[in-house]
Amino acid sequence: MALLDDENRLTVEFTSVSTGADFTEYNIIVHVGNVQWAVKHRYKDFQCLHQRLTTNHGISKHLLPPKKIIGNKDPTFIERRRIDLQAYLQGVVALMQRAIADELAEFLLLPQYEMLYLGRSLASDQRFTSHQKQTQLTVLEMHAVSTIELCASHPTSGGMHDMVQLAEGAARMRSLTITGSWHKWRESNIIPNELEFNFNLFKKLHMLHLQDCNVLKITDASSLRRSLVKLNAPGCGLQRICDLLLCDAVHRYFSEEDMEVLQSLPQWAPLKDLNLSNNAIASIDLSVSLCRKLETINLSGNKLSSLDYLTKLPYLISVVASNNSIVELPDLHTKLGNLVHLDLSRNKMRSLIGLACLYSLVSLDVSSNLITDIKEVEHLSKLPCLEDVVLTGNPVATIVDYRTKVLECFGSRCSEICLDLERPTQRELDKVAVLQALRSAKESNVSKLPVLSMTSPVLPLQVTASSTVLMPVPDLATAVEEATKLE
Amino acid sequence: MSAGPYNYSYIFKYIIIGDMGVGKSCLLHQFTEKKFMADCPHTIGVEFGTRIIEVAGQKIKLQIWDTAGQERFRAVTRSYYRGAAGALMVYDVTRRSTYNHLSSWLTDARNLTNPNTVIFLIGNKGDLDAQRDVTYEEAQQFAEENGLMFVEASAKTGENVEEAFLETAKKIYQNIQDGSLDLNAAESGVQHKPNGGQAGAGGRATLNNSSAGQTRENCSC
Repeated sequence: MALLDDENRLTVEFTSVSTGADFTEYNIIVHVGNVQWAVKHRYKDFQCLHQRLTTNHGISKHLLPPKKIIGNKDPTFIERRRIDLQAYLQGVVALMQRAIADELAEFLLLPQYEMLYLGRSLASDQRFTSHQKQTQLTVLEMHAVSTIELCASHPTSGGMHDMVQLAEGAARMRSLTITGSWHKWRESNIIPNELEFNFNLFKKLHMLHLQDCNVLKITDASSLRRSLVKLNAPGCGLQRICDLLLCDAVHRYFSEEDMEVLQSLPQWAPLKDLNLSNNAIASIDLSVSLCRKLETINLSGNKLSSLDYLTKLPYLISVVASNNSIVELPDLHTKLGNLVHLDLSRNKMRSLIGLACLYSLVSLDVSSNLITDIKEVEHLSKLPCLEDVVLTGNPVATIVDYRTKVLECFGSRCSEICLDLERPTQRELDKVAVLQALRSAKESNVSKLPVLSMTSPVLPLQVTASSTVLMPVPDLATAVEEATKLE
Repeated sequence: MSAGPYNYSYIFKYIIIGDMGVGKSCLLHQFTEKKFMADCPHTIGVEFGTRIIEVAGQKIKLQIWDTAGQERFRAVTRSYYRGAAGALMVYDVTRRSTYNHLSSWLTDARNLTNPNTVIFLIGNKGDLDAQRDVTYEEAQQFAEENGLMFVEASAKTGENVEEAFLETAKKIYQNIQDGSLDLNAAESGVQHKPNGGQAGAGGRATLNNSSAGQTRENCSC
């Protein structure tokens, strides 16, 4: 990180010259410790700087190499001028090492790359001075705020005023987006995602959105744990959930045996909504139990093959796990209780048998999986609260009379089912009624055994009831005739 | 079609809790099927049952979550307390340990349900009086101390089974009538279906739409 102190002095060097059609630019590399960045200036910029330095700071007028109007494109002249200007700037920098004038700081772009200067400019930035609904900061700026906060604890640094300004602004923020990057920051060798930052000044954040951030560089998230209701960390390259939830902990990986230790750690108490989409999470780990109040979790676009440890979340209502590598979820009702919304779209599921006892489910999206057989849909037929089912993009959706066949599986509840975001039409319902009647007629012909179901005793009874109303004579031939008429 | 899907005006959600083998599933089976299930298998995770009853002239659909008593399912069954309007807490009168564990079940129920959830204590296997290990009086006292409704029942003979489910519903209905249970509150465990039972085939589509919208509103918050 670029931070000016006694160990990390500011130095400059002129590396090269770029000659344009009508002007010459000098490429200056600024060093602070091991951080460096490039600044480009023309001769007239030097003149401007020099003028301000002489009037405001008493720098000798004769230091700057003089202006030349004719023959200023001559390479030997440019080379000599480069050396002269370098000597000038190095001289000024050496002179001001203890107290860098603002003009010089600006000339060398310190407020863009050096943390104390960046922090100071943030302190007067409107993002910190005025109330905004939604604030955006870069990781670099977060790093600067954290640096100021740390430096303010040293009485000598004099960053106290900036710190108070920043603290006031940060404490006002409710919703914050932080953008990181693995690319070099502008013209420097700073990689933002290698910078550490903390949330000590952000006491009342309700929503935090981390975009392309390296969460492992968060050194303190304790204030977030107390206030955050919604946490988004999509596309942060996360491999484990604990890397985010325990980002500032020394020990992150807990097994079942360490459960007591894990439970003694501070909870993400108010957190209700967690979005971890488009990361590289291969499995859900125990750290989710730190978010006991969680209602919604989005894990789409990861590498999950199963849904574990979600039983630790008694308030969970909605799980989005689309675009993962889920092939099967055996006995899902033993892993997810009282779930209302489940999105398993764009996975590799062939069977729905594992969902057969998720009785609390209201909406289910299993679109774009590998479900081929209509019998798989029957596994959903006993879910008493189910209202929305999405099956498009499965091989099963291409079979003849797909909609009526699916709706038929739901028996008397078929009119309550919204399939692929469309309610059944009256025509479909009539057709389903005929199919159901046909089936029950067939069943009563083949065997007289009554269908008994412990889990949903009302269902088969109602099916027979409806069939008797519609079909007083359960005769196959007439039923077929009816069916063809409806066609 | 004969019976429309909404031939009832309320849905009440119940949860049945208690130790393994106290007869939770048998009570549910007796209530929904009016039969005793002799060789009831262990419940895996959760089972579900439903029956329409009548309280004060109102048709009410009971949606009953029958949870697994085994400790290994404790975590998953905990989530079903959320949104339960009634909790039936069951122990076995012939096994004292199941009675001793009631306080732990009650703690869970109190922590995870809303304050208006009606908790009903059932001492099951009341037909096995010879093997009794817990007296009626002490259970009655426990219930009083904790503000629970209480009855001894038998899933085998069916004695008091109807009563337990119906009394719970009556109490919930009473809470709705006197306004202490807010139907609009999330997770109240009660859904109101206006004009339930009167909707003909034509009106059903719109009714469905509105109710689907309602549930979604409830859940998204």
